Amino acid sequence: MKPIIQAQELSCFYGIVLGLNNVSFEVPAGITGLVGPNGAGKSTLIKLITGQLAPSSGTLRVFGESPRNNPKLLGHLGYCPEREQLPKDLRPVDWLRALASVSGTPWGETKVLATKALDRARLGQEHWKKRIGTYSKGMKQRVKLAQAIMHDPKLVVLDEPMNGLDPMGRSEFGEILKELHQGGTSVLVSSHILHELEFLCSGFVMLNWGRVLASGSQIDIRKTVVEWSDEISIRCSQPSELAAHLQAQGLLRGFLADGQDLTIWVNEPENFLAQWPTLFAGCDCQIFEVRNKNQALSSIFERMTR
Amino acid sequence: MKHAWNAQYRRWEGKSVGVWQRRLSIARYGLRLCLSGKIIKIFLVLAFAQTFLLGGVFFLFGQLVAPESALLTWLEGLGGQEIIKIISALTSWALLYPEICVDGIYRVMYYLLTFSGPFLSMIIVALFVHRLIANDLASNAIVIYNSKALTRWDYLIGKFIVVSTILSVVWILPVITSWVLSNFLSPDWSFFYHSFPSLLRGLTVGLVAVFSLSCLALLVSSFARKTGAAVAYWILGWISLGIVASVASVAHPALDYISPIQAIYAFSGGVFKMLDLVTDAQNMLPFFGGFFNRVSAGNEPSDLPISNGEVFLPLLSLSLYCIISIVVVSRRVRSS
Repeated sequence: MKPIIQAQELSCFYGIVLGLNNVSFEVPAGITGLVGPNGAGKSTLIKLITGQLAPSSGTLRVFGESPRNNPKLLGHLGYCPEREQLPKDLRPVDWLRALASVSGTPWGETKVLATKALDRARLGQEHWKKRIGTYSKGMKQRVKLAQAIMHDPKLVVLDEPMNGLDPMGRSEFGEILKELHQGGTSVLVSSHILHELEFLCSGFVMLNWGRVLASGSQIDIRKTVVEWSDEISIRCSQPSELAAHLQAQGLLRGFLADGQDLTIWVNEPENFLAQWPTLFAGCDCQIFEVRNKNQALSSIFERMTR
Repeated sequence: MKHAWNAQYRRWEGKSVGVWQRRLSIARYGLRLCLSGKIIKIFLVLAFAQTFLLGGVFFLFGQLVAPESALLTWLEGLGGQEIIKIISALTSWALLYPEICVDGIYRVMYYLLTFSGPFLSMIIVALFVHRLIANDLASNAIVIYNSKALTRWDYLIGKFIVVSTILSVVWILPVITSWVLSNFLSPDWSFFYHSFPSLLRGLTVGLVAVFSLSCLALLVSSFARKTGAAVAYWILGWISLGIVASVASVAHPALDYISPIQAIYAFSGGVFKMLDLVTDAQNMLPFFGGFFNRVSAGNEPSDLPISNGEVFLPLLSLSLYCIISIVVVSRRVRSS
C-alpha cells in the first residue's frame, strides 16, 4: 500500500535547538501512533505534517505533496492541537460553522456539518448552547476533535488528544478514532503514554531526542525483541484453570490471576512463547492474548532509549 | 443537488466554495465578534448619523435655491423682502456658478466630515481592536486557522475586510449615502453632475483613511499577545504619535506627518483644496466677496487659517505606515 506520509532525511531546527534530526520513515494508511517522551520531536513532526513549519532540510510528503503553503492539501487534513485553542465566548456550533466555511463548505451546509461533527465527537446536545469557555477539559477536547474531523479529511492529526481525559473519556476517544478509520480516514495520533495507543494503533513511529527509534507496524516493532522476560501476560476466560493446567506440567515458577488476566513466571520464556498453543492444549479455556512483558511497547521503547 | 452525506459514511461530497468566499467567511465571523458589544454599536450609529446631518444641510441648500419651494415661502413669511432678496441672489448664483455654489457646499461639508472621522475611528477601533488578531494570538487559535485550507494572506484579507467595513461606516458610508439622498431630494438633476467632484474628493479621502487606519489597527492588534494590551497600544500609540509629531514639526513641518492622523488631515486639505475654493468664491461671487472682506478686514484668502494642504508627503507617510503594517502583521500571523 502506498504510504500517506513519507519523510526522507528530514531535519528541523529552531535556531540552534534540535527539533528533528535527519529522520526517514513512512506512515501507511490506518491509525498510527506517534510516541516518545516529552521533547522527543512529536509536536515538531506534527507541525511539519500540517504545514506549520518548514523543514530545515530533507523532504516530507503527505499524500505525495509538500504540506508547506499548500492550502489544497491542507483541505484534506484535520488538525487537533495539543493546547487549548478555542474561543471562549462562542458556542461550539457557531465556531465550527465559521471554520467549516473557512475550509470551503458553502454556508448553508455548515450547520449540518458542525452538528454532525459534534455528534461524532460525542459532545452531548445539551451542551451545544453553552459557551465554550464554560466547558470542562474533556468537552473542549471533543470540540477540538470536532473541528478537525468536520470537513471530513483524509488524514486527521491529533497532538496528545487524550491529555487530561478520564479513563472513560480516553476509551470513548479511542472508539471515535476507530470509527474514523472504519470510515476511510487515516489517523496520526501522538502521545507520550504508550499503553494508551497500544490497542488502538496498527503502526507506530517512535521518537526520542529528535530521532526515529523505530517505525512500522506493531508486529514489525515487536519482532525486534531479542531478550525475553520470564514474565508472561495472558488474557483468557478462566485464568485459574489455565494456571493449574500449566502448573501440572511443571512450567511455572509462579502466577498471579486477576479477573481475566493471568501473569505467569516461567523458566524458559522463549520456548514457552514458541510452543504455547501446544502447552495450552487440553485446557478448556478461551485464550485472548499471550504476551511477553518485553513485547509491551513501553518495554520495547524503554530498551531502545536505554 | 448532490447529497451531502452518503448513508454508509457521512462524507462531504458537495462542491467547495472559492477562496474569496472563504475570506468573506473570516470577515463575517470577525465582524460578528467585533460588533458584539453595545458601545461599539452606539458609536457606529453616531457615525452613521452624520449622514443625516450632511443630507439635511444639502437638502436645505437645495430648497434654498429652488424656486417656489415650501421652505422659501416659509422664510419669506418670516423675513419679508430682505430674505427674498438674499434668496433670489443665492438662486441666481447657484444657477450662474453651480460649480462654486453646489460643489462648494458639498466640498465644505465633506471636508468638515474629515474632522470627526479620526476621533470616531480612534474610539471605535479601540472598542474592537483586541478582537481582531490579538484574540487569535492570545488563544493560539491562529494555529487552527493556519491548519485550514487558507494561506496567512487569506486570513489577513479577511481581517482587513472586518476593520475596513467598520471604518467605512465612519468615513465612506456618510459620504455616499448623503450624496445619493440629497441628490434625489435636490430640485435640479444638475446637482448630481455638479456635486460629483466633491463626492470623488470625499471618497478619495475616505478610502485613504480607511485603508491606512485598517492597516494600523491590524498592526496594533498583532503586536498584543494579551487582548487588553491591544486596546492600550492603540490608544497610547494614537496619543504618543500625536505628541511626537507636534514636537517634531517644530524642527520641520513635514515631521508632523509622523502622526497618521495629522497626515490624514493634511491629505484631506490637499484633496479638498479649501483655499482654492474660497479664492474662487471670492472672485466669482460678489456677495461672498463682500462678505469675505467684511469678516476678514480686507485680508487675502491666503491670510485665513485655511490652506490647500498637501498630498504627496502625507500620502507617502501613510503608505510607509501601511507597508510596515503589512510586513509586520504577515510575519506575526505566519505559521512558525
